[in-house]
Formats: sequence, structure tokens, C-alpha cells
Amino acid sequence: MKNKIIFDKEGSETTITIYWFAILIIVAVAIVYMISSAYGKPYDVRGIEADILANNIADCISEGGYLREGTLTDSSFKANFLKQCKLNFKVEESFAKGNGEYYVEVIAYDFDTNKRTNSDISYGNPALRQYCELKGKTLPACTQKNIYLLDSQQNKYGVTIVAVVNKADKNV
Amino acid sequence: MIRDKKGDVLVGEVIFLVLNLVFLSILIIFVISKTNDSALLEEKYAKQIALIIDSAKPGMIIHINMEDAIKKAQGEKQDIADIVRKNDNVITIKLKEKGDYSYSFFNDVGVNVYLDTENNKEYVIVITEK
Repeated sequence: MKNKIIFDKEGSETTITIYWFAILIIVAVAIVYMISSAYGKPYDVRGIEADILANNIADCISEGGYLREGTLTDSSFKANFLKQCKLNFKVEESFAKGNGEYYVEVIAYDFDTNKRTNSDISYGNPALRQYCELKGKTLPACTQKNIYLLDSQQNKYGVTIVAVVNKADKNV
Repeated sequence: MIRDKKGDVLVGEVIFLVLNLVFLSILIIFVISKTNDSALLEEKYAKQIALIIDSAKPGMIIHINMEDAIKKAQGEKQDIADIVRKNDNVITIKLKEKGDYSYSFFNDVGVNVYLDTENNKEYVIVITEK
């Protein structure tokens, strides 16, 4: 009975054993670990955010499967991209010192010839683009969408939209 | 008192039961405090509302049930009409005296957020053109 740690006055058997305490400790550690791993980290919503950003850009340049007039084929659209697509890349003060937490890229090409048109758009922090090729939970979230559009003259365009969201401080 | 066949008090069994109850209580308190933490609710609702605004279109009116957060804020004696604040393109949730949680949205639309005073359980988000 080496494992008995508490005895009554007569030294008779009690039910509290080292083994029982070991089980309690293992259960406690397991529960604390599970709770901490589930609730200890922030919710990572960057993937959803990047998806929504890409969808918003797709909605901005297209309408019912057609290229929206005054967008990719218009030079002023590129200059006022954020305003035209109703985007605001300002972030909380805690991020303000960085180079930007977002990056978007719109590449249009002729669907038949695969030749790129002269209407590529990129905006935001270009340093984030490189992470699209990499995988990792702490890396910025990257979404790529390919859409097919027709213009009013029935010319076919393929458009690739890349959206990257960093915001690592708030999500990782 | 727990006694054996002879009628003696079983000290070991009593201590054993008490320790088990103490252990279980501490564990349950830990789990409840972790899962029902104000900071967690602040983060959850700030991100949820920011994402809702990101995917919303002008003209939409969104009702979001925040009963748990409102109860928490009432417990902390916070003004429940001031739980959700919008400053420029940043949503801030404040459920306790010290600290809050902010998250930005990128959709450049007009946003008006207010407490639905009919039931005091929901917040209403009105999306307009900017």
C-alpha cells in the first residue's frame, strides 16, 4: 500500500491514492489545454475578409456577367480605383504605422488569345503579394478569383482578382 | 457524517469527496470564465459586425442578436446603448469598464449602428450610400 497518501487514525485503507491524484491532474491539464487552445487565440477571419474583398471587386467591375462600363477599359478608373469600388483601406490606429494591411490586384486578359490587356490594377501593400505562393497559419490570407466577362461589343475577357489581407496582430 | 459499519467517521472518504468537489468546482469556474469572457465576446462581435458591413450593400438593414453581450455589459454596469460604436471605418465593442476591441472594415459605405430599444436584445445596422 505504498501509494496511499492519507490514512485515518487507525491507518486503515482510504480511497485517496497517488493514482487518483494523477488522474485528476491529467484531466485538469487536458481540459485547460483544450480550452486554452480553443479560446486563447483570436478568431482568424482574414480568409473570409479576403473572399469578401475579392467579391466586392468582382461586383465593382462586372454586372450580370458583363464588364461594367467605365471600369477596366477606362483609364480614370485605375486612378480612382478605391473610390470607384467603394473601398477604404484605412485600418485601426494600432496598424497605422505599417505599410498597409491589404493588397488587391486585378489582371484582365483577352479570353481567346490570353494576351493581357493594358488595364492591370494593383493597390495596397505589394509586399503582401509574395505570400500568396506560401502556406502557413500566420501568413497573410490570400484569395484568387477568376471570372469571365463580356463587354458591350461581345469581346470576351478573363479577369483574375487577387485579394490579400494581413492584419496578423488581430487574427493570429 | 459518513460512518463505517462500526459507526466510525470515515475521515478519508470525507476529505476525498471534498477535494473532488473543490477540484470539479475550480475546473467548472475556469471553463465558464474562459468561454464567457468579455474580451472574447468583444472580439467576436467586432469581427462579426465588420464582416457583415464588408459584405453589405447600401439599402440593407441588418439586425444582429447580441443578447449575451448586452447581459454581460449590464453585469459590468455599462451603458448598453453604447456597446457598439463606429468611428470612421472602425467598429469598437465595449462590454467592460477597462478596455474594448476594435476591428476595421473596408467597405466604404455609410453605416449607422444603434440599439433596438423595442427589445434591448438586438443592434441594428443600417447601410447607406456614402
